[in-house]
Amino acid sequence: MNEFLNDPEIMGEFINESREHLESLEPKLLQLEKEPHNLDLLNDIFRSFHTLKGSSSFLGLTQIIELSHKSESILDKLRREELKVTPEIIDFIFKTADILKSLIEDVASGKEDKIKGVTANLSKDISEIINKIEETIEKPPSKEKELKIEAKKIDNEEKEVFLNATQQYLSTIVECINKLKKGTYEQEVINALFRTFHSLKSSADYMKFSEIKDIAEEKEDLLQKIREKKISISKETVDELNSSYNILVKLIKNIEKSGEELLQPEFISSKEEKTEKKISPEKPLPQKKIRLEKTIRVSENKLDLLMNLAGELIINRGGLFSIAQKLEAGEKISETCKQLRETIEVMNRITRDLQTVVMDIHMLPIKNLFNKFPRMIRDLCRKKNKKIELKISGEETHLDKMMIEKLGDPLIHLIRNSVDHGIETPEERRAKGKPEKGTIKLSAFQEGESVTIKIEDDGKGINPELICQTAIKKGIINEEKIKSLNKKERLNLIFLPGFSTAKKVTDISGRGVGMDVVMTAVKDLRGEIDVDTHIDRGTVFTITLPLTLAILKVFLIEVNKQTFALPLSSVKETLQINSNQIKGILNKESIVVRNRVVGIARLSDLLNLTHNGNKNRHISIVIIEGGGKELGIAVDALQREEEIVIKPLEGCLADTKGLAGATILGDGRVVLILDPRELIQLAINGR
Amino acid sequence: MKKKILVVDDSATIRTLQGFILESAGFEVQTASNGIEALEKLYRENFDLIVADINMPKMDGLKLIQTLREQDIYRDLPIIIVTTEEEEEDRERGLAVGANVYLVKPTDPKKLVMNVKMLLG
Repeated sequence: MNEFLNDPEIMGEFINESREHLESLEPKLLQLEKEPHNLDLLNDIFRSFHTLKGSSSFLGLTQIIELSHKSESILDKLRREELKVTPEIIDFIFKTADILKSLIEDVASGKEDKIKGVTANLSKDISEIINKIEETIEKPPSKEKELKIEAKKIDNEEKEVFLNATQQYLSTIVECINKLKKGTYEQEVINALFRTFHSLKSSADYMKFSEIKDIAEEKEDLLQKIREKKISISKETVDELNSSYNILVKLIKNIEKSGEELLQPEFISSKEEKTEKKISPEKPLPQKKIRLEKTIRVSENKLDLLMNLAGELIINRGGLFSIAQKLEAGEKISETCKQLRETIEVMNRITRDLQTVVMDIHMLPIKNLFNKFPRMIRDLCRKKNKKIELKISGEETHLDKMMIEKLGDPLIHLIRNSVDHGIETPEERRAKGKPEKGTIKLSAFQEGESVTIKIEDDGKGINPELICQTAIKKGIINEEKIKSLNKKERLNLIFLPGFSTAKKVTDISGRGVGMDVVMTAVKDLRGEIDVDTHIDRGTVFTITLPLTLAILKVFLIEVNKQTFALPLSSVKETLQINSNQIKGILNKESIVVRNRVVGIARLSDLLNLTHNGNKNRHISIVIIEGGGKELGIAVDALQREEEIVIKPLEGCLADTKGLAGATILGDGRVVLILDPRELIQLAINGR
Repeated sequence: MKKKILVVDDSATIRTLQGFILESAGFEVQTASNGIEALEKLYRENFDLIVADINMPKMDGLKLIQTLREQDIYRDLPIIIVTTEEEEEDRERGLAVGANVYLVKPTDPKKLVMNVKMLLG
């Protein structure tokens, strides 16, 4: 049964399919809460669990089967309106889906062995929830229905009652048929038959034995017509009743045996085999683990494009070979050179196209990230008794796959903050004359080479004075320094490590982990974060990120005959100045650019490079910005712009302040990439 | 609308007990202590089902059912016999006079409720 567990292809399909089903559940469940009577939606959700149950049973993953089965049966009850959609039930289904997700991930990482132990606890959780739900359904208006559900729990007892009653029906029927066969067509006999078929019909209906119900109903109708003298009774009718009786006897025997009504005897035997198999102890799972590669879905169009580009590359390679041969032979040099130039042009186009397509594949819509939040907001609202509407826009904006993965935590943190500290309780909001329901807007849009993500709430805003007080109390900054800060800079204090304005640690906003974590995460993605707030009107956090992390536009500069790269996005302007324009003394030098004073630092000083004693009268300055501050960097020479591929630094260089990474230029030189924000920090600390 | 059940039994304990079981299952219950009383109640108001004992003074359960089945309006009324008579012949007789189901005392409350529900559909 479990040989499939070792087949990477089947497992891959199973895991992908399951993930997709579970992912798709969240928005549907949220919708269901709003539209509890949407039958299409219910069917849709039901199908997802059903599919999961089916495919996992194929693989013999018992825990997954069990859990999906439980959700499936609850959804079935909802479908049949035996249960009502309540927040508790939605909670339950969400929880099951969560557990299923983690089970699937365990399977994906080859931890099937572990699953057993883990779910022992989980299913205890689940059964507690089920009990709770069953308690809550004891109360709804129709008492009759309630008991029906209660009765449904005791399947075997029901079956016994049904079989007992049915035996009596059958004996009454056979007695009446015998009387009819003898020719006693008395009204009394017909009445008794009608009554009995009617009883059988309603009992079978109660038990959901549809086949028995249908047969009984048919005979009931026939007898009704006889009773009303619409049909006169004949030998044929008696035979018909008799054959129905025989079928019924068989069906009921099957119920006795297997608990299900099955008509064909061959089904019965195969059914028995199946149950036998189930009873035999499960074979221990094979120890061999399969490792599943991370997969990503790519549209066929893009794949075709890649194929074409690969084809062009091969043709071009042939061209290059022939050019090389011609050059070696020394034939028609100038003509061959022209050919070479053309080939390079084509090569240039192919690589550019290739880059575009591959980048495109590496990009995902930010939807994948935003989709988590409606559910999160819902859960938080239930926990905190707040009313919040989440508005999402721009979810089609594409971002580097890796960035989307890394943005999850900071966004969760910001949104939790908005729910916890931003949006007021409905009572507070009413008192302020605001609508009871708060709004959190989550939006994303692309602007040139960068993507902006905004988290806006219409809550109580952040008080800059409170921030200052807290910052002083926590010793993050002294009073003297605070005086020199403007509103923006004061607000930015929240991003410093150790800062948290929350009066107490709450479950929602994490445990004292402050905004500095958000800041670090955004910075790691080479992004910027900005906050704007108005008391009682709300707060906006703006995160700006580069489109991709893999490719960077840089500006090349030279110091000590060494080339460095500065991210172009941080370069504000470049200028050439005379050394006498620099004012001030060592470490506190500055220049005046268009009536503005800009601090100056020598890159060789910042990076502790040996001074080559450049006594040039002309000095090149690159003005960079980062973290809301700017700095002029004095360098030996300005080179050019270039697109580069970032490689992370390793070893002792990795921790060096001021460096972001390294790259290899077209001519094979290795160049270090500078981190503007850290450079500015180094310059400030040095002063 | 709650379904109405008539419980017919000469024992006050049984009447109260069955009444309680069926009421807590969501039914409306009235009681009669013998066949005659039952007929009187039946002629005054409509019931959806009858639960009746066999051994009763004045008019026993079998006679009650027989009387009811002779009248067209009662020919389809579901009737459950709940009795201490456990002989096979008794059961056959009960079904022959027109009871839908024959249960032997003491009946498990749940089973009684289930039987009622199965008959009421």
